[in-house]
Amino acid sequence: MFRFITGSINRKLVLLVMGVTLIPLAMTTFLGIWMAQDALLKQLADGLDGTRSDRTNAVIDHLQSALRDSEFAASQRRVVGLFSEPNFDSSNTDAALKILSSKGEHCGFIIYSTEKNAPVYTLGINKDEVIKAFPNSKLEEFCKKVIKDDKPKFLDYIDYPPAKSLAMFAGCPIVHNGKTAGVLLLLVNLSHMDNIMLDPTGLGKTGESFIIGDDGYMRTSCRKRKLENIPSIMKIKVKDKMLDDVFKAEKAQSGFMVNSHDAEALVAYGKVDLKKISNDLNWAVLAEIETHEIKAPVDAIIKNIIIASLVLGLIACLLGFLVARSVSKPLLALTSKVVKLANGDLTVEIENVKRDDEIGVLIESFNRMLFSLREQTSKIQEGTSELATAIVEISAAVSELAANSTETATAITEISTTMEEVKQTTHVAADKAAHVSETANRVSSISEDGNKATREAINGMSNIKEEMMALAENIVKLSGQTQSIGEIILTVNDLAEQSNLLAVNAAIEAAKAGEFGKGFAVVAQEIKSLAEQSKASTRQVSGILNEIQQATSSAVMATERGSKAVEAGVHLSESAGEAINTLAESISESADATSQISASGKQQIIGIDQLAVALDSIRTATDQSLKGVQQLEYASVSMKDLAAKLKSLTEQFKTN
Amino acid sequence: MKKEKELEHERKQEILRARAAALAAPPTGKDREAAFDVIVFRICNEHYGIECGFMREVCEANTLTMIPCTPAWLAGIINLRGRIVAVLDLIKLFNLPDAGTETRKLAAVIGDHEFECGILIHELIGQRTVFKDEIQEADHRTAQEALPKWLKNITADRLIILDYEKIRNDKSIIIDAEPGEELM
Repeated sequence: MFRFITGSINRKLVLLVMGVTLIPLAMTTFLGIWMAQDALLKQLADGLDGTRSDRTNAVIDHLQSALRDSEFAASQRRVVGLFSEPNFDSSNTDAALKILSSKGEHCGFIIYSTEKNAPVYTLGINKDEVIKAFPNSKLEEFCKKVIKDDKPKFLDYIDYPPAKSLAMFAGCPIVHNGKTAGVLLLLVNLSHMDNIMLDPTGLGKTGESFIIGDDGYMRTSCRKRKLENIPSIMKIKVKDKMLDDVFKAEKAQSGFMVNSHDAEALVAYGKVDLKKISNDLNWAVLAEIETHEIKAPVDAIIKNIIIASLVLGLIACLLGFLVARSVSKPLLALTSKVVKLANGDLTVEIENVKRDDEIGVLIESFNRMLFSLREQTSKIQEGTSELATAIVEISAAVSELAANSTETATAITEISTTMEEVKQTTHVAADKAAHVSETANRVSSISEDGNKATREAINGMSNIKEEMMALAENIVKLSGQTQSIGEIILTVNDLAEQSNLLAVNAAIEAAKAGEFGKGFAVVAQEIKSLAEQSKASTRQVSGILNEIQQATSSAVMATERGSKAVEAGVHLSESAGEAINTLAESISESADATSQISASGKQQIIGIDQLAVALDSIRTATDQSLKGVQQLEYASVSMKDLAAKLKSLTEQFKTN
Repeated sequence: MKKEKELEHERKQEILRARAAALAAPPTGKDREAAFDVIVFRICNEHYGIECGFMREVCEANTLTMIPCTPAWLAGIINLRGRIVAVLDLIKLFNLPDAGTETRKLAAVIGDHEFECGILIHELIGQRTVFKDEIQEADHRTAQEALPKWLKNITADRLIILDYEKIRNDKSIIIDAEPGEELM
């Protein structure tokens, strides 16, 4: 069975959907029914208890009124008069008592006389029969008890023939002249109580309410039996267990019990509390409804829910089937292909299903996987054949390697010879290095002298520089003086011009004077020629001055150049000093280097010795590698076998 | 070599100087008949002359005072020992070519007992005698276009002799206008 379910996705899914639908339904149903039943029962019990309590109160009222009326009647003068006046007209008593029983609450009255020890008066009941039935009866006993206790009392149900049925009495002592003269007995109306209890209100179809005494017998009729005309008062007894439960309970309660019809019923019960008025009666009122009636609605609900669950289950099955089919159909198709695939057939094709869900994706991815598998397999096949070729090549290479190793061994022998020669050469190099070191020391002292000379040169140069500076200043002063000479010449020129002007003006004046001015004209002409001469002189002077100025400015330039050259000389001599210094340093460095060279030459000799040892080990290693190459040859042979196996393996897959 | 070169240079200078002296010497022919004496001055690159008799004097024109609202050819006025003399700028008046490089300014004052005015000149050359055989008839092609108005003669060495009478009688140089009136 279990295998039947797990073997198919369809069945699994159907079962799952059913489970998902029905389990919560069952849980909610169970909880609902359970809670509803509980509430229903509580409500019913409360209702029953209410009915019971109402009816108890009505019964208590009825009994109280009976007792009150009996007391009232016993105190009536028209009743007491029966004892005080010998010829008292009993019609007065009739009148008084009829008023009390006018509402039909009481069935009748009997007055008992102590003195006569017999009933002396009756109302509503045959007197002769009463008197006849009185002696040694329960009534007589009751009367004596009332007199003895001297207080009103109830007499529980007795079989009383004068009343032609059961009867119940309320008795009250009648006091005359301070003595208890008799007892007034009130015949309680039992049918009124019966009617109270038979009221079907609030009790449904099978419900009943009744009074029981502590002897277990019913004091009022059972409704069902009444309908069937079966007398029940003082005839039917409730079950002993029920009796026990009812009278043991302190307060009013309810619970399930087996009733007098041998059926289970919900019973609300409580004692009738008459303590305030009388201790004679120990009664209880019961209200019951049979369980099958109570449970009918709950059962109906359960029935409906079961039907609904079945329908839902069916729907769930159907839905599950549909869902499962939509899922499993492509999967089943896929499965058959995958089985083929497992057998090595890579040529299978799966139709692409147009679905957006995971199954669509699965099929598509499967197709892709198949495609790539096919490609990979063919590539592997190709790779295997390539591998086979490669292995052949490797074996060829290995044989070459073996040949090479042999050559290497020969070469190593040659190297060791060469190394011996290198050793000799290194000795010579060490000697040369010592010679160079000496020479370097000599050069170092020479460079010291050179350094000194350079410093002196720098000092000389700075002296020259100062001289040049002084020269430059003088030349600048000279230049300024020539400038002022130029100004003076300008002034002289100006003066000559003005003299010329004056000479001309004088000539004009002379001309104006005519013959008299001729001599003056000659003078004016002389002045004019003088002015012209001085003008020419100034022109010459200014030409010379220009030359002087040009000469001075070129002198200034030359001085400038000279001082620059001196500065450059200072710089040069400084850099020469630095160069000499650097030379000295590098010479000492080279001296150091040569000593290092000779030291390293010694180390070289040691190194070459070590090299010889190393070459020996290389030779051993070459031998080992030759052996290794042989092993490699074996390995390539086994690889060839492996490639063949691989090829046969991949050929199991059909790709085309 | 150097000395030879220097000697050659000195000799060249000597020759040039002798040639210049010969050229500079005034014509000495005593047989020549003198026409009149002129005062020669230079305006730009031309030499001009005016008869000595009409010449008053030549003075510095550095203190020339410009007169507003006058034609451009009126260079300004000068104070000549208490007399106010108007100075004419012939360059502007006759649109003579002007190089604009002259810095020195002189005024040649001409006039008689009735008329007096100054002419702005650049250099005073001096006095000279003009001989009759030197004088050429005024040729319009050689003189400036505007000058004929004042031109008297031109000598062989291209001295332009101005006619004092023409200057004196020229009405166009008399400015008689109220301020604001349009001037020529």
